Amino acid sequence: MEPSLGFVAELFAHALSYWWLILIATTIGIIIGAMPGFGSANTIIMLLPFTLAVDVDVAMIFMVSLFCASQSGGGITSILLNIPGNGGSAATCLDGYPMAKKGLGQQALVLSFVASQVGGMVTAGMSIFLLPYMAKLAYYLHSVEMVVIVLFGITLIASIASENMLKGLIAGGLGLLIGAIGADHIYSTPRATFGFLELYDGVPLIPVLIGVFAISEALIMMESRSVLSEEGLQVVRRAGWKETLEGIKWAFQRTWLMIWTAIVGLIIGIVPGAGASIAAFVAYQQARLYSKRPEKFGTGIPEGVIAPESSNNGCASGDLIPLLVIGVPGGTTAAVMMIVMTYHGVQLGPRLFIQTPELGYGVFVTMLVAYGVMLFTTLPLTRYISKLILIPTAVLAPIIIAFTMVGSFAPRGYMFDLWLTLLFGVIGYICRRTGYNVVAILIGVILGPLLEANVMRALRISGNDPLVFFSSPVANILWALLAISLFVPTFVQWRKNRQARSTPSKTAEAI
Amino acid sequence: MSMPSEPYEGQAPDPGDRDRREATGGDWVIPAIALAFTTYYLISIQDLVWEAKIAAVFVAVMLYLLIGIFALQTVFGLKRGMLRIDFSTLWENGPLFRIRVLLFGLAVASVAALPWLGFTLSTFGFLLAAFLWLERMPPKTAVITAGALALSGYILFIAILRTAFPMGPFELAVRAVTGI
Repeated sequence: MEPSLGFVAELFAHALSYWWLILIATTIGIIIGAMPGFGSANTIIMLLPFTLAVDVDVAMIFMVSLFCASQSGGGITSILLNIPGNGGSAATCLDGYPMAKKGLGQQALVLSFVASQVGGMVTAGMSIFLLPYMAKLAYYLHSVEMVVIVLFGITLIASIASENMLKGLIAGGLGLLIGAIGADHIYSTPRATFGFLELYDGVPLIPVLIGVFAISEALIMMESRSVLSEEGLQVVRRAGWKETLEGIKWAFQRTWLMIWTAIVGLIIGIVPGAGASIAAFVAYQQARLYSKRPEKFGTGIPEGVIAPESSNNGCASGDLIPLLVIGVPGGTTAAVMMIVMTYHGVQLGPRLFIQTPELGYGVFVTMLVAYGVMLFTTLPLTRYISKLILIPTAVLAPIIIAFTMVGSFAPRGYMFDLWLTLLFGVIGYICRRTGYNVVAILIGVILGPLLEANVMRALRISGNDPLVFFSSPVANILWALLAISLFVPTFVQWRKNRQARSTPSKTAEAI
Repeated sequence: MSMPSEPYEGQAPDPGDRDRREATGGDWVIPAIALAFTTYYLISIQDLVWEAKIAAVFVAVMLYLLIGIFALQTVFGLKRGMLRIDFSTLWENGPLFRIRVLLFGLAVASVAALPWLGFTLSTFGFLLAAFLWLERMPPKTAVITAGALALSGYILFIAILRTAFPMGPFELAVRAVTGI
C-alpha cells in the first residue's frame, strides 16, 4: 500500500497540470472560508452539478483544493473582525484579533496564511507516506474515549479562553446543554425545543456562531470609532510590503511550531467527528504550555496565530484519512466528498488503494499542490485585506450584521434561524461584557451532540453499565489528564491569590 | 447620535473609593440563564427513558454544581468586601447603550421586514438607517454606499450563490426583467 517516489512524482505532475482549476477552487475556497455560514461543504453541495459532471479526478482536485482553501480563509475574519469564518478558526481570534488591534493585522494575516499553508503541506506530505499506519489510530478511539475527549476539550477551552476558569466552565456547560436540544439520537424524542419544530434537528450551529461572534462583536465594537487603537491606526495606514515580509520572517522563525502543531491537527483530524475546532484549541494550549512566554498568549503574539491555523489545516488532511482508508468521513466536507466519489463509482476503503491508488494518494498530492499555489496567491493580498479594519466601526458594524445574517439563513432557509441569530447575539453580548468567553459556548454547542451520541453508544454497547467509562486504559489516562487540567490551574490561582494577600501585610510589617 | 472619536470609558463618572471592589451583578445574568434553561431542560426530559436523558442530566448536574460554586464565591466576596452589586457592566454608559440598542433595533426591524421587502430592500433600509443615524453620513453618500452594498449582496448571495431569501419587490422586478 506504500507508494513509491516515482508514483508520487507522477501524481504531482498530474495535479499541477490542473493549476488553473486549483487557482479557481482556492480563490472560491478562501472567499467562502472567510464568510461565516458558507462552509466548504455547502459550497461543494452547491457546485455538485459541476463535480458530478466532470471526471472523478478533476472533481477531486476541485473539491480538495476548495476544502483546503476554506480552512485557510477562516482566519481572515478571525483576525480582522474577531469573527471566525468557521469553528476551526475560533481559536485564531484569541491572539489574531489583539494583533490586529495593535496595528499588526497584516503580519497576523501573513502568519495565518503561512502557517495554514506550511502546516497543510507538511501534513499532506506526511499523509501520503504514513496513510496506512495513521488510519489505525481511529480504531483505538471508541465512544468511551470520545466522551472523555469531549469533556477534556471543554475543560481545555474553559481554561484557555477565559480569565476565570469557573466562568469558562459555566459557559461551556451551557453550550453543551444547548447542543443537546432537539431529538435524541436513539429514540428521536424532542427535548427542550420550546415547542419549535425548527429545533427538532438540534440547534443549528451557524446561527449560534454568527450570533455569539458576529452580532455581539458588532455591538461591542461600537464603543470606539475604530477597531484599532490610535497607534494601531497610524501603523495600518503606513503599512506596505515591508509588513508582509516581516510576517513571513516571523512565521519562518517559528517553523518547528508550525510543523508540530500541524501534526497535532493531523492526529486529531483522523478521529471521526473530532474536527478542526478541537484541533485548533488543543494546538493552542500545547503551544502555550511549551512556550517560553505563556503569559503573553491572548495578548496578540505570533505563536497564538500560528498554532491554531497550522493545526486546523493539518486537521484537513486528517479528516480525509478515515474517509479514504475505512470509508468513514471525518467531517461534513468529507461526507459530501464521499457522496461525489460514490456517485462516480469509486469504492472507498482498503480496496481504493488496490483498485485506484492514483485517486487515493492523489487527494493528498492535490492538497500539497493546492497549499503551494495558495502560498503564492494569498500573501500579496494581505496588504490590501488588512485595510478592512480602517473602516469606522459605525459603518463596519451594520455591514457585519447585514452580511453575516445571510450566512445564518443560507444553510436551512428558515426565518427562524435569523431570530435565533439575534437571540444568540444578545447572549454573546452579555457574555463579552461580563467575562464569559463566547468561544466556550460555541465549542460546547459543537461538542454537545457528540458527547450525547457517544454516551448513549457506550451505554448501549456495555449493557447500561456506567463503569464502562473507566474500562479502557486510553480513557483512564484521559480522565487523569482531565482531572489534572481542572485542578492544577485552580490550585495555581489559589496560591497566587494567597501570595497576593500576604504580600501587602508583609510590606506593612516591614514598614 | 454620532460616534465619539474616543472610547466611552473616559465619560464614566469618577468611581471613587467604592470602585476598588469588583462589580458583580452583570456576571450573574449568564448563570441565571443557564439555571433557568437547565431546569426547563430537565423538566422537558422527565418522561423520557433514562438512556435518552443521561448525558443531559450529567451536564445539568455539573452546571448546577458550577453555579453553586459561583454563588458561594459571590457570597464570600461580598462578605469580605471584595465585591459590590452593580449591573452597569452590562451597558457601560447611557449614550453607548442607546447606540447599541438602536443598532440592534434596526437589525430586528430589518429581519421583521424581510418577508415583505426581500433581502435587497431590507438590507438597503437597514444600512441606510445605520449610516445616517450612527455614522451621520451625508444622505447622498449614505444612499450610494447602502445601495451599492445591498446590490452587491443581491448579486453575490442571490444571483450567484442562490440563497433562497423571500422575494421582495426588487427581486421580483429583476426577475420580471431579466429572468434571474
